[in-house]
Amino acid sequence: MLYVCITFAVLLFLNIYCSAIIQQLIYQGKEASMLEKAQLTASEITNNDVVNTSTVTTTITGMDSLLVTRLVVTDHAGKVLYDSLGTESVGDYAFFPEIVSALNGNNIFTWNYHSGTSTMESRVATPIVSYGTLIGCVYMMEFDINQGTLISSLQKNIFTITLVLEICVTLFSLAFSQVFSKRLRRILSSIRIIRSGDYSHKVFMGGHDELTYLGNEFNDLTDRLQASQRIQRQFVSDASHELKTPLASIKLLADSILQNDMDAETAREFVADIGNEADRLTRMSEKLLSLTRVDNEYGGNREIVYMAPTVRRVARMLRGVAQKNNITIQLELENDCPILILEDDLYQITFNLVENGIKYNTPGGQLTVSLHREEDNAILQVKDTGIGIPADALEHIYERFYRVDKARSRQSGGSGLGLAIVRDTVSRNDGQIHVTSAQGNGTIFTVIFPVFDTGEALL
Amino acid sequence: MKRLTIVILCVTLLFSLAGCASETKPHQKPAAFYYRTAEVTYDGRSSIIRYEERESAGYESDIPKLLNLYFRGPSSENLRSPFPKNLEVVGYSTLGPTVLLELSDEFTQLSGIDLSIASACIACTILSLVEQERVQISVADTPLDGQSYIMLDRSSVLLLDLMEDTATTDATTDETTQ
Repeated sequence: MLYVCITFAVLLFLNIYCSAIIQQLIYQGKEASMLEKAQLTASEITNNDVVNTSTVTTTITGMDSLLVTRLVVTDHAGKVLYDSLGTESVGDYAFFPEIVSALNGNNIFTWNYHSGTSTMESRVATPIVSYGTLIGCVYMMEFDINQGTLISSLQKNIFTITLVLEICVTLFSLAFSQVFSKRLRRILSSIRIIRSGDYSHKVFMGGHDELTYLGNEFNDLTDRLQASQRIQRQFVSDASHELKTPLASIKLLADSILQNDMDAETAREFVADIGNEADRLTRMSEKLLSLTRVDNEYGGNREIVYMAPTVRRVARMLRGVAQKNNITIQLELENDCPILILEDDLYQITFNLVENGIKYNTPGGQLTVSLHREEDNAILQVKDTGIGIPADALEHIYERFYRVDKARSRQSGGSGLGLAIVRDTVSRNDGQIHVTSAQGNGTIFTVIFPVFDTGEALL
Repeated sequence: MKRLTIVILCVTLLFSLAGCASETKPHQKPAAFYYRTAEVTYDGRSSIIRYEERESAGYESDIPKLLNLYFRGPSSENLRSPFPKNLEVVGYSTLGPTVLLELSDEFTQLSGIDLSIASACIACTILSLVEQERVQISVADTPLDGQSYIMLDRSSVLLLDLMEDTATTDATTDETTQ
């Protein structure tokens, strides 16, 4: 409605403006024409030695037709010397405003357009000056029906065009608003359906305008929501399953101890197994908590950390496990690798990668941890000489609860969450992780972080 | 004798009351004072001379005094006086249908169209006050713009170019007249 009002106001303004311009053009033409006639008449009159009714009448009679409705010549006092309408007014005083103005020495042109009769009434008066003395004035009046009709016709045409345009604009606006509202309602109705939980719903907008793009974005959003929901459900299902397995083992072992007459040694072994399963549950819970923390935190309170000391600390921590598995850990570390990260995150990443490298290595194998700087990046590489990862499994290794070799993973105490935690933690700290592996030839994990030189400002 | 005296006294009293009544009769029609308009409008319908109405009670028999009051100027802001300052009536008389008006020397300060307009205003005002046909305006022995006098009647003033009504002394009234 506001749009219609604005267009109406604009069209009305244009209508008035065009009419005024046309009238102004006609006015200017008329002014020049009538003033020229009046000045020509005044000039002819000044050629007389004596200016009176007789000489003025003779002069005007001798001129070509001036084509005016009325011509009056007065003396300096306003007394009529000549009137083209007749001699009745000769000798009277004419006090028409234009004559009074001319007898004060001014050229004057006035006009009035009468829309009712479609006539244009123009008046002009000019002083008659002889040898520097004002001796009278020439006054002309003209009723111009042709010009009036022209103005009237133009005004009517402009008004008609304006009216037609306004009707078109109104109809178009109504149609457009109907279509727009209908499509908008479609989106709103889809939002309500999605809100009720049906993420599979799609909105079909059609067309190629902004609403179509909005509809497409909306569909993308619902796809992502659907995917996110599916992942979440899968995660809950996997987590439940993973937690259920050690619990079932514990239950089985406990029942066996209670139901069977077993010697003390066997019972001790069962209890030890129960303890191991409980440890596994604890580790899994810790990692789930760690994943939750990664999901919820957004990299706040990061600090500048030199990587090498943290990597050494991890190696020191896991050296015992490595020796137990007869794995040699070799460190090749450059000290000048400062990055912006939470130190706990860096510890977690390094720990998980080194622990994996030990777990999935072959007895007597080697684990090389290198850290060096390439241009503006710090590169951490964990290379083992283990069993490797099959090519088809590479794309899944970061999924939660995914295991390449389930039996071996459980046996070695793996939860299937370690690499998922590494990937998420690296991403959260603006890093990248790559893996290269060939079955039987070991695996190389490469983690890249942008170096944060101490000279740079902390963003 | 006594009865006759009473009748005579009553008749005398009646006549006296009648005389008093005629002397105190209020002025029925306010006077029309003609002046120039303060601002000229070129719409083809507006005259440069307009009048305002004023109460003239008490001046009916003293036109010169009324005219001197008139020369002081209009009360309306839309009108302006066409007369010079201190203009006064020197002589006022009638000769047949003509009012002979002699003004003070200040009137000779006017000339050309200003003199004509001032004369027209005076003529219109006088002819609206008295039942005469024309007004002759003069200033003692001094000519007015080369003429010994200016003679104006009701039909000799053209105020508007209306084509169908070219000769009239009826000027429009000012709406703010008192």
